[in-house]
Amino acid sequence: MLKIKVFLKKNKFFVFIAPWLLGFLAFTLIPMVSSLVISFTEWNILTPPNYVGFANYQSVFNDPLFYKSLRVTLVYTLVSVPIHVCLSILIALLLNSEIKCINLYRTIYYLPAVVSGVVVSLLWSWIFNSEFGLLNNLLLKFGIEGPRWLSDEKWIMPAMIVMSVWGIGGSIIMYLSGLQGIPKYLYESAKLDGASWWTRLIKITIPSMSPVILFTTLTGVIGGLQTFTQAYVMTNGGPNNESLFYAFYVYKHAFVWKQMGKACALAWVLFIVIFILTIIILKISKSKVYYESREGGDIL
Amino acid sequence: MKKMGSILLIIAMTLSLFVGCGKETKEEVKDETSNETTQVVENKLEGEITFSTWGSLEERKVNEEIIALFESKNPGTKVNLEYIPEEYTTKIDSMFLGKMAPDVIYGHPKYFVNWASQGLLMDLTEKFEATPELLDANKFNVGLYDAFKYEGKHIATVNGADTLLIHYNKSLFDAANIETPQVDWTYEDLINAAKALTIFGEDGKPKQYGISVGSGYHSAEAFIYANGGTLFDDPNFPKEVNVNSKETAEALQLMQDLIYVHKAAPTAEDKEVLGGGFDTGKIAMIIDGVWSVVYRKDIDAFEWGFAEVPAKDGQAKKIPALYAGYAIAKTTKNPELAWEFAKFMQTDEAQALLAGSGLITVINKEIATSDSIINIEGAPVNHILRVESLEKSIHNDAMLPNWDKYLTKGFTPAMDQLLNNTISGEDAAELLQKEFEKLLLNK
Amino acid sequence: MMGMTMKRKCLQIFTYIIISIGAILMLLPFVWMISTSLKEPLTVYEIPIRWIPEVFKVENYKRLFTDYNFGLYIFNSIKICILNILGNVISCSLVAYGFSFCKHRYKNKIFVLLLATMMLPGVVTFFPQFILFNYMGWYGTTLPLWVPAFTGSAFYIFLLRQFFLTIPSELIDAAKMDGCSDIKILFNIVLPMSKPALMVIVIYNFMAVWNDFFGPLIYIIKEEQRTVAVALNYLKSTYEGTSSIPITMAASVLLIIPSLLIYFFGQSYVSRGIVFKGVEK
Repeated sequence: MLKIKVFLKKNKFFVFIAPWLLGFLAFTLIPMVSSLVISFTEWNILTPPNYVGFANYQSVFNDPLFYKSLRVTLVYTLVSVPIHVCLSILIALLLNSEIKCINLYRTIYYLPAVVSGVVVSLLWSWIFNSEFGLLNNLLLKFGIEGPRWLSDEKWIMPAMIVMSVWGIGGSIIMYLSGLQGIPKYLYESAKLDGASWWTRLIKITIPSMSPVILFTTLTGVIGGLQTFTQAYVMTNGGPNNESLFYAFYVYKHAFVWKQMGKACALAWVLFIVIFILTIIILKISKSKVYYESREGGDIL
Repeated sequence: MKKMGSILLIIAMTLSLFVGCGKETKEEVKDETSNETTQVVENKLEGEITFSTWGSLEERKVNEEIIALFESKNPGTKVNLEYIPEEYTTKIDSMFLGKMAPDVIYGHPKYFVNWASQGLLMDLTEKFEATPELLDANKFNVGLYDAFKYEGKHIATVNGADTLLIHYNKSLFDAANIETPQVDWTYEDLINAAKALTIFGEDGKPKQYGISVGSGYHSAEAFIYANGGTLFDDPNFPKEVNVNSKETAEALQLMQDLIYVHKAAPTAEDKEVLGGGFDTGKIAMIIDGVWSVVYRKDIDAFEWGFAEVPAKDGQAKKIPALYAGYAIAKTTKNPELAWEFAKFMQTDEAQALLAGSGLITVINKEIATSDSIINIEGAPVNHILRVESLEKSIHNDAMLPNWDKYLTKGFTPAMDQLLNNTISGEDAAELLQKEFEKLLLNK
Repeated sequence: MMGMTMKRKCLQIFTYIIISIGAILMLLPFVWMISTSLKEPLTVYEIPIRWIPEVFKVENYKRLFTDYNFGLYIFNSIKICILNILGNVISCSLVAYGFSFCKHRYKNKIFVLLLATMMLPGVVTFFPQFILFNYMGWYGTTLPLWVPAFTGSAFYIFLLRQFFLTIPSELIDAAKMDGCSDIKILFNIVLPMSKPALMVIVIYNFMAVWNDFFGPLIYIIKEEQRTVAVALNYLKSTYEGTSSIPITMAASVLLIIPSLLIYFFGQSYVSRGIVFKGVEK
């Protein structure tokens, strides 16, 4: 008994993080390794798997839909994330200037972010309807004839991007908090030095917010590359597979076509893509992101 | 310490409340199972089974009625309806995986072929042979059984088969003084009627369309088969792809032309167009399965009827049909009850209920053609066509286990591009040939 | 000087106009959703869009409960939400305490590992997790949807740790010198001071689980355990005569209400909790 007590006391740290450690092993590490192993087999779950070497990866790289799916997902992510960041910062800046009812505005902007992916997809599949949907009717008021958003393969991706902008409330809130954390004296001394609003923006605001910007960019990219609900609920990958988001394509392989092996191979390819993009973003940020050093600030 | 103790206690109690709920259901099921096996020995029909199906609310009601009837005839039994409106096969696959498969499974032949090939379905041949009336060609349309066999063995009872036909709005035709679709119509006739029934408003936008060609592959199959084209050499055992033919190209081209050349068809899915599409009298003709009677019989704003999809030069060559039946999972804990229920679907009472809803052209010939069914309230003009068209019917899609792949990689993108005017009917036929071959021959 | 205030005023008005336009655009879909949910199915297709329905078809909402069993689905979702919140609050508090107040050689390295897992794409782990749960016999139950919450979540652990670190170390040291055990310190000092962060976790976790679609889609088979998000998706393919849009929108409105309530309730905590810089000591 005493020995156990002493052991526990010495390794108090591990006792406390035990829940997470257990979860990490069971739900992260082991699944990751297994999925790599499965990617080298052909398996439909009901019958035992059989080893096929690199055949799945070959199949992936020979699959025209793989390239289409990857392209679609990358375009969506690399276009929508910058748009989100810029728009969110802009709105956060506007909201931060001393205006009345800031709480009301803040709530209104955050509202769409509270809504579930399924609701958003269903709602917007009707808003995008070319005949009687909200969007085209609104455009008509300005004399613009809206396109067939969801059935024209050239417009489906713009539609997805427009829809995603509706939910930027979450990042707006984060940027607002970040803005409110910037010490006022920085601005005052800059103004005394005669700096213009543009200089103030570039030299003070953005650098002070850079950790938040980094965080939202990273999460935005990782999240964007795993978009699933829109494809599943709204488009089923179409038209002409122009909204065949990668995660949806993987889902099809695993649960509809019962090709677990290829599904895991596809998942790992995505993981590598995400990994590379993450490294690139972090490398760029090293020189640009400014951290205030505190005990906790050493790690972010 | 006290405070923490009480908090922990509350947490523990809350947890046990929820965890308890989950566990109970599973244990309950296990208990039933052990009861059932003992009952079977006593040779009395008792116990509980699960029956899975899909469909609209109306279809669900019909199934519930049949279940109620069955349960009243067999007191002590219980049939649980597992209603799965979407991703049916995926769900059932998962259920097989989780060892929780339903006992009686509603499905199309190609689903059953898939599960049978994995050894998941019960062989019903002996049971069929023990019930000779099921094989009576005078009573039942026994030709349908062929689609429900795997390696020569029966794997399902059948409720019937539904063909894809033109649904036309008779009131609109009459009002415009145009002859309703005839059996010997050519493409010309179809186009002319569709154009005549497309009415433009003052703003130049259509208030009414003559026809909708749909947006999916079902209507494409209707046009292709009617014109004499095919997808495979044999939909039941496809070995060759032969979709690329003059006939297919013509059929697909017609679909595209109706939208873009003749401007007689809308580009969107028929219901979304002009507020409600066919069901609100805004479209004069659509291609749909005859199962639609189950909900269209409630339409009293106009009269409507059935007609065959024409071939280019006249009468339809073949008409695609969807068959459906009831298979039994091998893992069923109560095979006797499951068989009784599956068999019950082909009894006169159940067939009458199914037919009476308009849902399906039942396999029981007499009931399918009986006056009371053909003339049910709200039935379309020429309702008898649903039975007559079975003579020219060909099983739709193909009995391929991964048909969904053919859709995602071939059929759907080809139709998307065709109906968006990006490729021609010929190109589409070639594209289908290429993609289908890649999948079938594993290129 | 007059020029300056004029410029200021112009800028202010300009700002108001822009954010107001933005706000209207944000709200428009909601208004459409509510308005549509109360419409007669056919009137959905009217152009130009009628914002206030002629007849308020409240029946659409009633039918969700009578015809479509939404009461059960809501109950199921709430059940899973509460279990998740419970699990996360307990486990994340413990783990964050470990990272904040315990000493160990590898503590920082393990923390970096924790952060790295936040960037892990779910696709890679989901399918093997599915196989694992199936092997454990949990497939077809709701267990996979809440048991993992008891092993914590990287984001909440990170959040709590940042918050814990702002607690003056003197307090902790004093308590330790008084002979308090770590558990006591956690429950009697640290957690009460971390209410904003805990509130953030409750709110975010509730919304995440309430809106979760994929998990219940895969793991839940029986209709009696179905959750609202999945039920809503099924609703859209149920034939509803002339239009399923109003009833689908009604279900959507129902789905949003709990999230909105929780958000309004904890709104002040949300903005206070996420600021990880500039927190006053």
